Amino acid sequence: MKYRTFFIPKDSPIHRLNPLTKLTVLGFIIVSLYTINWIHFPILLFLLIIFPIAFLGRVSKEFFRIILKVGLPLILFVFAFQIVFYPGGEKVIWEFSVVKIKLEAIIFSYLLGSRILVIISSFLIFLLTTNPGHIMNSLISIGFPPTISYVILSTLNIFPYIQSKANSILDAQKSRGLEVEGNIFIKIKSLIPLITPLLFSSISEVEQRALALEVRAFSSSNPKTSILKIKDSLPQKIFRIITLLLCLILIIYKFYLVIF
Amino acid sequence: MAIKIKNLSYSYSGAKKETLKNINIDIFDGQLCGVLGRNLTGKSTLCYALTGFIPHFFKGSIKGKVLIDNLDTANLPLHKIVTKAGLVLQNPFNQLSGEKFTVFEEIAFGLENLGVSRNEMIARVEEILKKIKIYDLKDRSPYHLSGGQQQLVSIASVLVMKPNILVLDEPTSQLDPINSKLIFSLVKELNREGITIIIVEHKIEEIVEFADRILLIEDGEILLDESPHEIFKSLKKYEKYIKYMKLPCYVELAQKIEEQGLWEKTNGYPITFDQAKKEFEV
Repeated sequence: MKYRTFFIPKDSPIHRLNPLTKLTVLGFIIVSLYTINWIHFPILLFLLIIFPIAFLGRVSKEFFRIILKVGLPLILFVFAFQIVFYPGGEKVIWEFSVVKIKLEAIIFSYLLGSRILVIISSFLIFLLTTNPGHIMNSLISIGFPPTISYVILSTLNIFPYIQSKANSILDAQKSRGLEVEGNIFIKIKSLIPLITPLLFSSISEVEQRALALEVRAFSSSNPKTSILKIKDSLPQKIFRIITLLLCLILIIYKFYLVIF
Repeated sequence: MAIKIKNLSYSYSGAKKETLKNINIDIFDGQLCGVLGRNLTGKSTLCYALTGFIPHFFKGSIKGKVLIDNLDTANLPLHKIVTKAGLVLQNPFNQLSGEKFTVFEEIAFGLENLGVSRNEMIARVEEILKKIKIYDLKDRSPYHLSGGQQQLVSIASVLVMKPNILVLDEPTSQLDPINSKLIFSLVKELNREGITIIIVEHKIEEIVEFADRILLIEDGEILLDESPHEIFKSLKKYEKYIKYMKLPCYVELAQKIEEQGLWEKTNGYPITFDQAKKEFEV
């Protein structure tokens, strides 16, 4: 198994940041996306902030590979779906049979698609530049229960794991003569013999994983300690407080606009 | 006494029949017990009972008692039991925590859960890495190791919690012969250092070489509890129990040359190289 997590160990200013600082920025980005209504804000955020951060974190290659492979198809699907099925709107700009493409639908889809792009990208940079163990310890340090932190972390880790396992199952099915190459219908048909063993084997592993955790005293009531020393600094702490205050201001501003 | 099992019977929740039936075993400090038996006869269940996972993790109907250092496992919390009796699972990959990035961090996971201070943790992990001879793997990802190396990491991650008893459930079943040898020699070494070992194995030829006693389980019952020497001294008596297992190569050789009248059994069949050398010396 080649990849287990998204994390790429490198020495960069983004890697060196405390995970809580990165999480705070992530929170700020999400809050700003839904409080600042300017339609081009998400794209500008992507181009001027997230794009340079990927380079600064020295993970641009992996970042673009995943965005193009996973993010872009998802965004295009959401975009196309919303354009066709957007319920409201009056300005029809193109019509074919029962399908009506409206200007409002395009604007909405553009906003939604760009927001999804920003959220996926910022999460991805966070995962690519942060040691999973550091994430868990940081969450515990601010009072998260270890069980919840473990669930969050193992969920983050599960995607590369499932991808790798799916590849193994696919190879096994191919060796038994399963046809996977060809048109879209052949590909969809090949999904059933892939998903069924993937799902069942993952479920059967849950008990083994729980047992493995208990072998290592996971349910111990002692306060947990950490072998990792996560670097933090006063400027980062101040930065986190300012960012959280900004989030609060944005949320209050949004409510103010809604109410008045 | 390390472990005492008194009249233990157990059935899993929803199961109609008992997986373990009236088990009585006394295992003394520093002993090495090999547990043999066919698949689905209760060997893994016995391992779970020996390490407190029954009744704390697996619920079901339980009768009788398991005592570790004279303490009833039913009354001890699981995190206390794992510091007395460690369990190594069959598949080393499944024993990894799933959240650590290096072997060093992986081995420390149990100590973190027990709340051991960082300095002590570092000292203990370094000590165990050196002892198991995997110090050079400390910065590697536990997911990028061979099966044998992963199993060594699993054993290290249990041993770092300093249990006096180590229960290994088919630790070599997923490993190739070279990695299996690696695990067996480690088990022998740990036992020499005084750790009580209970090892479930199918490879009888490996286990009889160094086990103090052999427990044979069949359909949830202990059919046989003898020293390997005793079993191979009176093989005819015990043959029905071990007929489906591959016998040690020295025993097979001795049987063949005995058939041809080239050798006569006086003190049982040899089970180790040294015994064979002594027996066959002209």
